[in-house]
Amino acid sequence: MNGALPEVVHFGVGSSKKEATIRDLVEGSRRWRLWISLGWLDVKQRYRRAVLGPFWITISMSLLVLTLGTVYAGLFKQDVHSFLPYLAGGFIVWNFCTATINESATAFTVAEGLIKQGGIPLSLHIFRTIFRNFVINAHNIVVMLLLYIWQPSLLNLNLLLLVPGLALMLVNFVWISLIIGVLCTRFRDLPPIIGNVLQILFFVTPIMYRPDALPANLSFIVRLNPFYYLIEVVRSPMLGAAPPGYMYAVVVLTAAAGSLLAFWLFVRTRARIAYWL
Amino acid sequence: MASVTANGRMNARVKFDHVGIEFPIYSAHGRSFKRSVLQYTTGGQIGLSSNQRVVVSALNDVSFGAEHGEHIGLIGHNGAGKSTLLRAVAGVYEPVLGTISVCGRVASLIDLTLGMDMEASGFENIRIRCLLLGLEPNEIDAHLDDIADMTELGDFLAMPVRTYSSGMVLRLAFAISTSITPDILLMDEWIGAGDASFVKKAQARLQSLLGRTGILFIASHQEDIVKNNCNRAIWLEHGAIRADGLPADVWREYQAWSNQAGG
Repeated sequence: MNGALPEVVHFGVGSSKKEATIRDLVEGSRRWRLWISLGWLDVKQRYRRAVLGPFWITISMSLLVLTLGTVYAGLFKQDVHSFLPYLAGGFIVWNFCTATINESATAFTVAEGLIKQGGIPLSLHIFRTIFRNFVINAHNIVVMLLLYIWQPSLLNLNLLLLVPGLALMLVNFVWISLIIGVLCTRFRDLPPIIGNVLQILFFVTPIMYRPDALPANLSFIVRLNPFYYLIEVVRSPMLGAAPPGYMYAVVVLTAAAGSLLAFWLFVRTRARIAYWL
Repeated sequence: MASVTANGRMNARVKFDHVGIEFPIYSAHGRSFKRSVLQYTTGGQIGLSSNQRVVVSALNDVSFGAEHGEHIGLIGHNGAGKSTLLRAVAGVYEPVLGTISVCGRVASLIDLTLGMDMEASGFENIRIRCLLLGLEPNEIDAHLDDIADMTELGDFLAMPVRTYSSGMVLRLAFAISTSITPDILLMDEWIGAGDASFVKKAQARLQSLLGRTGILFIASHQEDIVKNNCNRAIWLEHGAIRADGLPADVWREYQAWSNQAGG
């Protein structure tokens, strides 16, 4: 409520849907204080329910990595020293992906009260969901710290590449979450289907195995899987390796194409979301 | 009639131009993704009847203009479209027919306790609610003392809201919600708060808020609320405007019609 003259906003027939969508996205980003505050409250809520709060996922992650890592290293005849960190990095990044995508399915439906009150851009609920999952999954840094203590050689300057890697991942999350959020508000039987699809994706994405472990005639599964590149640009720096340049190119292209698709969908559905709640 | 608000504006405007709002009523099938895909692949043969969308018309060819300084009471029976009209001004429901133009910052006091987190402290809730109402951080800091004073909650503000009595929660919500200076204010029924000693203070504060509001829309069933606080009344029935004019006149018409319909 600053002193600037208010602009006239038109809704309905004759108003530009594209303009309204851009305004929603710009306003949603501009009010970052709100989605950060709401996201923090969400995180605090989880702390209040349990003494350890989100550190539960750190404990379960450590146990998972430790047991699976030992068993699978034996099964695949891999060296535990290199396989365990690979598995940990993969699981941590994949967990972030699935948690964000699963929760974006209800990003609008859980905010029904806020949306029906008006005055808050819809994109803000997407940003809130991503931010909340970012903070909660950041607790898994503890698992990585334990690995670094065990194997200090994993830690080198390539870790700095985590910054662009994570930034690209977050940009991709925005369009993925927006599409999932919109579709799941319209079609209420979609969230379980998305859970199933993610489960399948888990098996065709190199997390529990290395991509070169696949026979040549099956390697297309990995090469055509956008999640492989998305995970690699975050996982590799955590393990002290620099991802090859073409991986960044794929991730940037995915972000661009996905954003266009999400924008197209949002232009068409934004005004209807309140009606669907 | 137009008065200048605290921030020096006098150009708040709302215009409804042949506005129609319809709510789709989906059957369980209509909400199903599997169904929709099946329908698509089979050329709409399956569930032919489920595809016929039922709509409820909430606003029907509504046209009016509101200028700065107008305090408008919305009257009409339950389901007449009062709340839908308020939400349309807030930009929640965008019309399927016609156009709505809104000039000015809209603040909605439809649900006072919306966005309140019971586990968070009073101070945390003040921040969140202020951000929800669209205040900037420097404005929040400026308002913080005023709001804290108004609540009379003292040290309780540092405690989680779940430890409050319901009256205290309402005080907090009321104090935050009335600290703003909106161009356009939306209210669904008159808001009041707490015990007798607080009521007087609360009413004075509410009157001061209305004084610095550009355009007020208040939906109410109470005659004195509309007559005492509004300089215009709009009577809605079945989503359409039945009468629009001075509160006393419109109320008389509404009353006469209700008696006739009832008796």
